[in-house]
Amino acid sequence: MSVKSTAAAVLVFCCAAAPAQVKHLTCLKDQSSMTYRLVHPLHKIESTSKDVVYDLEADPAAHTFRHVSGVVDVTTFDSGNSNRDSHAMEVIDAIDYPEASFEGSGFVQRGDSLYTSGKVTFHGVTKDVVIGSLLRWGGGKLVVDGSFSLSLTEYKIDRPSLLMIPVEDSLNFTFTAVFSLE
Amino acid sequence: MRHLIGLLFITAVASLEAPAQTDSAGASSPETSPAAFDTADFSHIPAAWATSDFLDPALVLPETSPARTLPARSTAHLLPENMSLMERGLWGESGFFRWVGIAGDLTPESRKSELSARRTMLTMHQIGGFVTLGLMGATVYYGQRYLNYSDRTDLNHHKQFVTYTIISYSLTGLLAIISPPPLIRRGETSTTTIHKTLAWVHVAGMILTPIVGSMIRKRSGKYSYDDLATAHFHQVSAYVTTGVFAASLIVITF
Repeated sequence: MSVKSTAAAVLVFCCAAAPAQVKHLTCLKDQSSMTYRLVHPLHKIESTSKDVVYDLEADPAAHTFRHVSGVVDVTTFDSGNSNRDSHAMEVIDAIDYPEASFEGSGFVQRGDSLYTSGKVTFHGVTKDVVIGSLLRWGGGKLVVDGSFSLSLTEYKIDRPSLLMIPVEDSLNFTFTAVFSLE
Repeated sequence: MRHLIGLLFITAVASLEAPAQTDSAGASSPETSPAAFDTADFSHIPAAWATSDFLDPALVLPETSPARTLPARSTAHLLPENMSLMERGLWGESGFFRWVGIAGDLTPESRKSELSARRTMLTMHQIGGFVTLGLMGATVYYGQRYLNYSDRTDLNHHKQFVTYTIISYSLTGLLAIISPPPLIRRGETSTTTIHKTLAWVHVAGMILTPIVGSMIRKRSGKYSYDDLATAHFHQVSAYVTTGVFAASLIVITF
């Protein structure tokens, strides 16, 4: 093999294997949150937890992702009415299942939009979900705002009732995850 | 030429699978071309390659980080931080109900039973509230009729409904007072706080109104001036108590 062809091969190798820097990022807890919305004909309930841990494996330079996970202590959701929150904890058996989590490893990106497929474990039941989110890169941070919905029935949760009227089956989540890239 | 093909092959594999690297936080993270990774179809790669010695182990993609779990919690979280004196005395870790054996030791299992009992008791409290409001309304109605028409039958109905109202009210209140504490109680002001504040007012009304009512005497078929004033006070007290009771229901329901 000539020196020229060897050099060319090494060059091709180096270019193709040029490292893409995938980083393991953990969210900034004070800026990250998760909120659920529950609808009853007489009430619309919003409850937020600031005690969520999001982990991300991403390449900040290429703006691409490899793995994402999130876990929340369900007892930390605060709707402004602890009596209602306590009732919610009874409904979802928080003593047996104190955490809800998500793990995602399938990513489809369209500009600033990111669709992540993965599994949500909630109330001891694991189901496939797709989470839509909006990405904002800048200022040394990555901000991810997203949403997804779960069916209470699918997660084997008895819908709570008020005046014999149950809440809607859909439990809608929105979240904000902020990561420092520095 | 064989070497060149070999190098090109390694290049192709390396573009998919790259060595691990430790980031500044010390966590293990892989180096790869994520765009290629996300869209790559690996199905065409024979399974045998994954275990082949041909591949440098350093090039094999490491496992992704395991899902994080939160730290284990003690049993302290089973009871809320803010418990009333009554709750602490009845349902605390060494409360009366645990001492006499009505409730078991403080364990996740016993708390689940207590929360279930709490739910039943509060549902009954809710239903009892509406029943009591209906009985209060009937009591006020017949009391007002007696004041208007002085018909003895109205007075008898009024007295009957007073008894029913007091029984229903007491049972309804007792269900809330002795129910096990919730899992969470924070110090915020909410509709529950308003409900409980109003309860202090209608409890006072429920004590005062029948006492004042029992003080009214109709002598020789006529009210004295003092008795008229007492009857009027009883009337106002009854209306206020019923109104506050209705408000405490409405605020927690809607």
